[in-house]
Amino acid sequence: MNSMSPALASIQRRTPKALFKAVQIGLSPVLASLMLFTPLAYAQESESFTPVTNAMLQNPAPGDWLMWRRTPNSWAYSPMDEINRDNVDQLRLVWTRDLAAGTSESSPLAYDGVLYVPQRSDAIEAIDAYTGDLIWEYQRDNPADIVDYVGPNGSSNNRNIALFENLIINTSDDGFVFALDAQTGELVWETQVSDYKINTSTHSSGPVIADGRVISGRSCRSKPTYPGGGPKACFVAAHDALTGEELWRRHLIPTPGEPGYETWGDVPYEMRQHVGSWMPSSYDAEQKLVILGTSVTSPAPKYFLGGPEEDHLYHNSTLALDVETGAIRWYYQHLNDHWDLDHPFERLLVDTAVTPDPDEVEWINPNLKAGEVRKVITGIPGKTGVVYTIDRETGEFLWATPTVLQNVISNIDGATGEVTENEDKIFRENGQVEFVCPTWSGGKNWWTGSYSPLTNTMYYPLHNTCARMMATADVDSPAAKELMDGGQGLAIYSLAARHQIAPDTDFHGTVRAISAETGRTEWLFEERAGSMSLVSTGGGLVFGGNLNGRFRAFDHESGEILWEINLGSPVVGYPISFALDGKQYVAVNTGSGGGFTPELRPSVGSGLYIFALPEK
Amino acid sequence: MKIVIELDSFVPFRLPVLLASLVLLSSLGHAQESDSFPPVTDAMLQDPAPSDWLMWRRTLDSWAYSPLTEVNRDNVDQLQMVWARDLAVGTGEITPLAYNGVLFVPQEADVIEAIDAVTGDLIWEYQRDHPEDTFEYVTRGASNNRNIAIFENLIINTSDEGFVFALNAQTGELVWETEVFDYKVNTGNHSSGPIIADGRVISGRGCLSSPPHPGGGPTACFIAAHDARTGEELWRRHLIPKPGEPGDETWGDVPYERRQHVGSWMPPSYDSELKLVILGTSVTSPAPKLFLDGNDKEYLYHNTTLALEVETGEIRWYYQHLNDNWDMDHPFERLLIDTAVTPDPDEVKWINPKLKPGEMRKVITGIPGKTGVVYTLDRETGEFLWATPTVRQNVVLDIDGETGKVTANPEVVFRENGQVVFICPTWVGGKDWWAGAYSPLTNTMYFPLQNTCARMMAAADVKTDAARELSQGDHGIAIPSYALAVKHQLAPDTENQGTVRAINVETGKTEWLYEERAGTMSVVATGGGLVFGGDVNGRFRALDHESGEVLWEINLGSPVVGYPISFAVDGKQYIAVNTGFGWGFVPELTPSAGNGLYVFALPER
Repeated sequence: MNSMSPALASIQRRTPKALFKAVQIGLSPVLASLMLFTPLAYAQESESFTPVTNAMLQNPAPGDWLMWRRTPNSWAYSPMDEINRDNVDQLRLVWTRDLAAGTSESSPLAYDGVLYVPQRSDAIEAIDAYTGDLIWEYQRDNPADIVDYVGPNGSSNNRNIALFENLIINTSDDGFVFALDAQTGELVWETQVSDYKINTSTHSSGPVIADGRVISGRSCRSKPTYPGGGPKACFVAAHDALTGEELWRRHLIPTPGEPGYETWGDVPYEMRQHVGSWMPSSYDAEQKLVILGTSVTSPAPKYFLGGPEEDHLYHNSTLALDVETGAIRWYYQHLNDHWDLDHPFERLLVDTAVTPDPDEVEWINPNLKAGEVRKVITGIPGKTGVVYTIDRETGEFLWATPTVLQNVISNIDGATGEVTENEDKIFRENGQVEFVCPTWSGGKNWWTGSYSPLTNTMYYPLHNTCARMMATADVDSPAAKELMDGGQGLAIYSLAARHQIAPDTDFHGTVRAISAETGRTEWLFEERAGSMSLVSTGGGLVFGGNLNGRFRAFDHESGEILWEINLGSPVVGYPISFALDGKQYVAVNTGSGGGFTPELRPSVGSGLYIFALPEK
Repeated sequence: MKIVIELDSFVPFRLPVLLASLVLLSSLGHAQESDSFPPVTDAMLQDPAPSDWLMWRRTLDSWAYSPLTEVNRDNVDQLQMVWARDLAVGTGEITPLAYNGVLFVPQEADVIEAIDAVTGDLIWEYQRDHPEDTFEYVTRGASNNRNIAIFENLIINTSDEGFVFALNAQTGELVWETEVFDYKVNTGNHSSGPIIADGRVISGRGCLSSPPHPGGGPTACFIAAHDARTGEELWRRHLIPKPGEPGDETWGDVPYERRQHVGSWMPPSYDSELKLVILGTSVTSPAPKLFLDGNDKEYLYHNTTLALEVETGEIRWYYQHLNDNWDMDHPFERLLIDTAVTPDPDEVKWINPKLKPGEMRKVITGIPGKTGVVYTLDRETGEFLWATPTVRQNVVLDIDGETGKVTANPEVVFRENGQVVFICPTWVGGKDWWAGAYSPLTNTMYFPLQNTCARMMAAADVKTDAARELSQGDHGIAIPSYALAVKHQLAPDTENQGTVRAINVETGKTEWLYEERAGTMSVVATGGGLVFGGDVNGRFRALDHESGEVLWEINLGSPVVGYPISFAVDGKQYIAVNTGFGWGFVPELTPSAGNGLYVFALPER
């Protein structure tokens, strides 16, 4: 018979939840070799499991990566320095493992010798960090019709999970928050947060833990494009991490009678939709504040809602929520958004001297005293690529400045922080077409930056993009179709677009190093391929990949590439660094991703790659 | 502000400039090479440069031996991955060719990619446009694409819908294609590709049987030779004798149209001095001979080694390895070696008494079939020299040393419909498509072999209650075209599915035996004293060719089912292997499932 016959169908290839055990029968060289590859200490460690406490989450051991951006301040900074600028050129692959096929915008957690790897459609695997062998896998049994409600993107992404005590915690595509036993992968509790057929929301990202609470955000669908949706679908929720009990939920669209309700003008409540928070929050344990950002409305052009003069709260805002109640302590709106330029991205919580350089920073609060130390929120919260620095206690605007080419903000009032949109780009009628930079893929998007306290510098992967964009009540209209030819139309936003690389550049990708104190760009790396998420380390390195399969280490002071490898497929995962028995490792995964660079032809695949220095 | 620009990736325009980026990413010497393309000649195929991997097992003698020595036993522990690239999703039983700084990589369903061997960047890709119903006829097994051939400036392959075709190696554009069978009528299946023998494309194929398949029949089973430059068919050798041909009588009363499925689904070897194409064949359909015309007939040329004249396709000699009731195909790689022949009576079970110890012979050796039995034959005449089992087997009872005549074990030969026997190995092997290697440094061959058995039923109807009961559940399957139902298992008295066995070609002695829980996969031997091979649990490793000791190992996650190769660019040695889908009887091993190509080298000084 020919080899790969139907026989294979019957041969069991994978058995979930089966732990590898070395077989002691049939003495052979391989058993010895396997023993050599698995240090004895590991076997002992995996028997016990030290619960992950709030104290550990707020001040993790250098070798641990316990949440999405490692720490609640979202720095994505690993203090380990074994791998550094002098030796990173020796970095080599230790093991690799294929992941479930999908977009693979995923971020492993590293704890106690195990990597916990979220994958598409709520798959989670625990993988032996030493060997790459599977320890357990969890596959949620989601209803078959889920994609009809939440959309393909919502069901395929699974960017992050959380770890608390002995629980791996995630949000599910079918509208639950759930917890697994970290040692076995067995379900411990689950709590429904939304009926996916009615208050339909999308859990492309997972939760963070804030003082024992599971803080989960979500995107929210809108009717009639989707069968479910509405204003109640848009909220941030807090659950007791040990029991799953819901503690509070903060609706992101004010309910009738709440402050901000009036900012939607005449729009009926049921038509106020889609202000979600689809990326994980930051948390300030001292101020007890959950810091998060929100998305655009549906439709996006305010012409189709209450008009461009209304704020439509809390879209494209930073919200500071009291962790105990979910009450809004303050908010700041970054942009009255007509173009799907969401602002849900990671907020960096930094205590820093604030001395914005007037030569490089476009908008500065005149009340700022140069050099004063402030508790700030900084970084690039939205797709526009604009850096905003605001006071973490009050939401006071401190400074802001553009990075990549943008033409949607014409001014920010330094004294009040009030943003003025570019009058020329605001849609005033159905069918209007404008040239908008960046387009809705960003600028910035779900790919994340990093902050290093060694340099007081933040590092951001940003893309040079623009689009001819049309406000259209009907994305299937002939005019919209003509515009989109080869482009993209999104009925949920009433927008059609033809995306492109920004004019006057051939570089889709950039990595920009921006001083958190001065706002100055310290260095700018530019490349043809789109740049992806970063991690900075105590070794003076910034690791990051691109859509053309390259993964590399930059010198954090110069931006020089000190090491690079081609992983074949787009490096869309969030890189992390962790330690095993004191030895430093770097992990990143590939997936699928597109760009504006057709001559670059990476492969398509989802693989997790682990790197370390050679053994001495 | 400092602006850092990655020039390597700076490509202002579309395709033409891609070449510029490739130039920048590659060392200059390499770039110059890729602009020109020295045609691959027969002389190069018969004596390739050490840096090149120009065919399935690198050389026409099927050694899978690379003479490169830079990576060796002293430094292999420093080996590191230099790039990776995901491949088309599929079984992953594939072999890259390496030439002129480019890897040519066959993939599932006739996909072929040319990849820059230094950077991992895609140069071109070819995707054949099959009729939608192709796989309803040729079966999914045809989507395997184990190997391709290179000749002059052509990449040559067989296609799932029944063509031999040639692409321009520099552009991937189709140069010629020739239909060899109508996939709806004389249905064959091209899970492997061709080799080049003196300017001829030699292609084999599996062939289906009708019923149960819609197409098939005796004329679906053949070896073909095509002119490599033009695609013109030169000859075809049917593997089931036509009425009146010698061997016709060996099928007894079976009507000609019911003589089916004797295919040759792995690539042949070629002896350019003797002008002989050496190949092996598969079982019949059905397999138990009681469903044909009884156990006393030979049913030529099933499970046979055939030596064909390269110019005409005439059979110079043949040797039948097994009258096969159990789907124990014998199509695997034949090693062509000139060696002293001194089989050790303490380790070799069947020896030709006329052999003079130490005499030099041109032999065919290796493990041609799923039974795991080593056979050494004279290459010029087909004379039996010696044979001996490796893994546990209970199908060959005896071989007459003088005549080479094989006696099957009467206890496991099916005599009646519904009979169940315990058979070792089962039809997944022992040996199967995963390939061994031979090193001239040690005069030793290295074979990955599996310890398997099965309870197997001869079942004219695989849907009977008894057949269903036997074949249900894990490791059970029933295949109507073979009239067999089975329950596979690991061989008794071992926990190790996988082995790599080093067998001395002169003496037949097992020099060392590496055993492990996971199934072992294809190997390559090198001038550095290493045997590289992987397993179905994702491990890829280098063994010391003299001791079998593991000197280096890495976990690639998914089953390492590709055929590893070694090659050089600008004098630097690389090792390449790919992953895919695997199987086994070891449920506690849970590798991932994916298709990746991984290239390794020593660190730069």
